[in-house]
Amino acid sequence: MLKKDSQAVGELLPLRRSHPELPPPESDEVLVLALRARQPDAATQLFDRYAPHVRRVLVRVMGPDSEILDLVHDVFVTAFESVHRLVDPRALRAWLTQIAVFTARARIRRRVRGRILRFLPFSELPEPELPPTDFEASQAIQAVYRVLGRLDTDQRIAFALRFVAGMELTEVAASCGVSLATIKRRLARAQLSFEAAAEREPALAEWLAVDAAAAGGVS
Amino acid sequence: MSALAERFERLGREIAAEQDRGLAQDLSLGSVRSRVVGRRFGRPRRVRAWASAAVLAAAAAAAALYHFARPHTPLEATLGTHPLAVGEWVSATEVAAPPIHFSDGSEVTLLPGSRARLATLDAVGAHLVLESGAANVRVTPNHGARYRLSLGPFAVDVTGTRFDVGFRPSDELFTLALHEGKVSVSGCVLGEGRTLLAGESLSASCRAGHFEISALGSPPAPSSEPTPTLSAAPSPEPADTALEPSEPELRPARPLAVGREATAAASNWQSLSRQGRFADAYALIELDGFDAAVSKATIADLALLGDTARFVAKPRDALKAYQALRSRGAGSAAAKQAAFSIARVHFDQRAAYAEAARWFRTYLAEQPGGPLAREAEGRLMESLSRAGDRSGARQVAEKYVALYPRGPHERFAQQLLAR
Repeated sequence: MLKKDSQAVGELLPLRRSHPELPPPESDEVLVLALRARQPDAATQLFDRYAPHVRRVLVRVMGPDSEILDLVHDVFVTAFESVHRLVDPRALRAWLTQIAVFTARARIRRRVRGRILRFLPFSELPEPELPPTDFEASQAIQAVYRVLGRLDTDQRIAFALRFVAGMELTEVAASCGVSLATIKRRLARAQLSFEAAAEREPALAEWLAVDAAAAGGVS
Repeated sequence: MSALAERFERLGREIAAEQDRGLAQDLSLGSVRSRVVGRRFGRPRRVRAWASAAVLAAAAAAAALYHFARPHTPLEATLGTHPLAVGEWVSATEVAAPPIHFSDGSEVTLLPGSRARLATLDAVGAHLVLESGAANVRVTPNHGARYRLSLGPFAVDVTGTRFDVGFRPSDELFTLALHEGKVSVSGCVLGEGRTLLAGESLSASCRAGHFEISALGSPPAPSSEPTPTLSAAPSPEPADTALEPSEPELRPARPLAVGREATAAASNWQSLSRQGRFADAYALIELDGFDAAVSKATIADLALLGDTARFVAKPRDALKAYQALRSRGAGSAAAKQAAFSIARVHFDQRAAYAEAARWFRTYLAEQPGGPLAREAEGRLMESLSRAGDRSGARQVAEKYVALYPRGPHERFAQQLLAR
């Protein structure tokens, strides 16, 4: 890792002399080097640049959730403490996305474990409850995330990243740290599970039906 | 792609758009920022002396590069001869406003009826929040310049270019006409970012879930979705003037108003709210509880209380305040206007379109010739359409076209009637 830092600096420093190729000061490469160098401004720069993106990813995966800000906090703490492990500084954004996804997954799993540890038989497990939210979400959003809450955690994340966050399949795979083939399988299962579970949500079933009708009815 | 996947994509886009509307109004990220960047991070490592030296050398080199590449002198901003500080609001009323001038030569000129706030200013650029209206923007292409304009759920990232941009909060309509250079626009229906090149124009509506990019000066392409239009140069009577009667910028004002964020003077939630610091005002209200604030508020303050909750995306609280205004000030102009605000909350923040329609009707029944009548008719039409009441929406559309043939919802009405 030390070698990588040195190499990176070594690669960048000569560029100082060839001005046109100097990475712009706002580039992720320079920011990562500044973070590793513990530059006082660097943490602020990283947060200002990527906090909205990180929060958006978390909101897409978690839905209405009172712990989103805590999760944003956790993502950046993890990022600051492990920035030395980032191999390609140009992939900073994708790396942060992956941390956000993994942080969200850990939180979802912890909640699921909490429910199971009540020692209830599976058949008596309550419907997943959405935690209290900071803002009122529409019934449709609530319903979508209730349905997602019934899915396997990895399927839920794949579904949310693909369809709500609108990521390409390769991005979803990278964010989840799995292969493209794996993510395709997960998504296929997630779609079937979601469709089956959505039938139990009147607000959602109606919305999907309206949506489909509107798509077919608009001239 | 399968039909099932396409349906999920549509559903996901709707969900994402609604989430983005909530996020655009949520100012709470700042509280995390102070917690995150304020702490010290360290990773205990056992390294040999040479390794430490290598790390120090790398750090020093990176620091040198980082500092070398960044200009150190912070930019300065002025409005006419008035130095503009971070946090200050600029409202341009009906007369021409002087441009906001930055010391690197960049300029932002607000058009009449617009309102903006300088959010940040640093060595390489600035962040300007255009709350409503339109602006001409010219950013000098300096090396490393970075400017950002936020307009509701949309953001424009600029390094060096010239363009006209506008935003109408009432229907979250965003327009941009790019004359030189290139910009990246993100948010809502545009996702993580779309690059626009010189000679292109963009219009996007968060609410309609629709955007289009066309050549500058060419007529917009036919669209299956009704999208009202917003000129980068607003009409003499901007739609927002009618839509937001209780917002600070809409009160009779000096030709050009500059309001400083007077922290020391902000001793109560009312003054914070009037400065546009809604998150701070709401935090102050929360200390005693929102219900207590409602019970203590004068009739005159209830509208402001409701607006404050609405602007920080607390629809339940906003409704409490507006409903209190309706009952305690029954018959007053403010109470009648509260019906419109209640309708907006139901429409914008709860997606409860049937309920929104009911309140727009209430407003129109109580204020048939009121200042918001045109907007209420238009939004009633939208509410009914979204609630699935096509015949009701058509009836309102017919009335709208007859009453307001050049109104902002006219195109939407025509498309409803054409179906």
